[in-house]
Amino acid sequence: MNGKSFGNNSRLLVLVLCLVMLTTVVAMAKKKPKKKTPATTSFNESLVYQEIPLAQFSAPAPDNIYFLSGWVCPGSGSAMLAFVTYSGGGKVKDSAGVEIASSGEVTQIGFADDAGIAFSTRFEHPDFPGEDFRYYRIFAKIPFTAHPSIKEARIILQNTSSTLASCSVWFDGVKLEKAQNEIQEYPTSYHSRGNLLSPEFTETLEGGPSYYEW
Amino acid sequence: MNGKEKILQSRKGALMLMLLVVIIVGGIVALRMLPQEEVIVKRQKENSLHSNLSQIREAFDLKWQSKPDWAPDLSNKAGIRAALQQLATENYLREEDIKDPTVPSYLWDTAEIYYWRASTNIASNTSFELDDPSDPTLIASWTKAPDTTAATDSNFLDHPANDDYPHQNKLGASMRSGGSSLKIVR
Repeated sequence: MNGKSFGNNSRLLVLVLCLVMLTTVVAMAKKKPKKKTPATTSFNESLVYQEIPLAQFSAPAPDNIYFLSGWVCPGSGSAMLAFVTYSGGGKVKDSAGVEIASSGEVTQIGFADDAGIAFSTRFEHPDFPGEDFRYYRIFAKIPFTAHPSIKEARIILQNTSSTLASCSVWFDGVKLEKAQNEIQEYPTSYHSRGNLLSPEFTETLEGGPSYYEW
Repeated sequence: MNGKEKILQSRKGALMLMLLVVIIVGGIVALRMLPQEEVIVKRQKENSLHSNLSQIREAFDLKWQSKPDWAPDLSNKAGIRAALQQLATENYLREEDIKDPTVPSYLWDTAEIYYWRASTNIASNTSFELDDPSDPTLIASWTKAPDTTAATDSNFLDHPANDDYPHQNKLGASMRSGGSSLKIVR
């Protein structure tokens, strides 16, 4: 091997390394990093809840994946969408969900497999002129099968803003749905009852939401 | 070979060269056109899927508007097909045999994975449009925890881009103007 070919090889190696680093950076940028917290949040105040019959969650793994999603405007505070299970006596057993701050930072809660933002858009509330509010469609991917030790399951919508100043958050279009299959990554289109969907899981031409999300 | 033959031969050579250039340029143009054709076809399929989903979802909403307790079995292909047939028979839908153009036509309806799927919302009153009939200050299906200030807010995300078809008002009152969101104050 002469010096010239060695130089070429090293240049090639540097190029490959650069490509690998670039790919990694792009992949990391695509998937916004999320904080993950254990299920230690207090589910006592500034919240509304809906009880979901446990019979809905009889399917064992791998057919036990659910998506909890909702349109949330955290205003200048933060808001949480969670699925919480209770043992007897109203004691919290476990929780899974997603919390969003006014900055758009997402925190994955408890035993959720994944959490994130499916879509976001600016929101002008007439009571808060000039405020740069956004509505985010946040979601959590939740694996769950009912167990005899679990006595109750609830969807919880909570204002988790700091108590230092009064703060409002808004919720709309909440959806708890069973995943179509194991490769589903995002919630499907919102409807208060239900929707028919495309069976195609490929991405669109522009690389936007997959057809099943339409 | 005389002079005349030489001229004829050189002309033939020039003609061949021109032909070659035309073929090469034509090939390059064709190669550039081919992916565009593919993109055009895919875009047409996507537009068609949008249109088909709009029709189907509007038909379902119209049916639910006229018969709120209509509960079709959407858990499998047969149930979905029966619901589409019913909607077509009752003139909510122009035809029952609406396909997803993104699925190859030779595969369509050959298995569960090649037919419309359904996604059902397990939660109820998820757009906060209903009040509790026993107490209008409460929101139906939802319970406030103690020390919680929560109420419906008539300002909601009324964004046409969210809608599956014109005037759906997805996050508001279905197919009407207005609607509400849930506001929690802390």
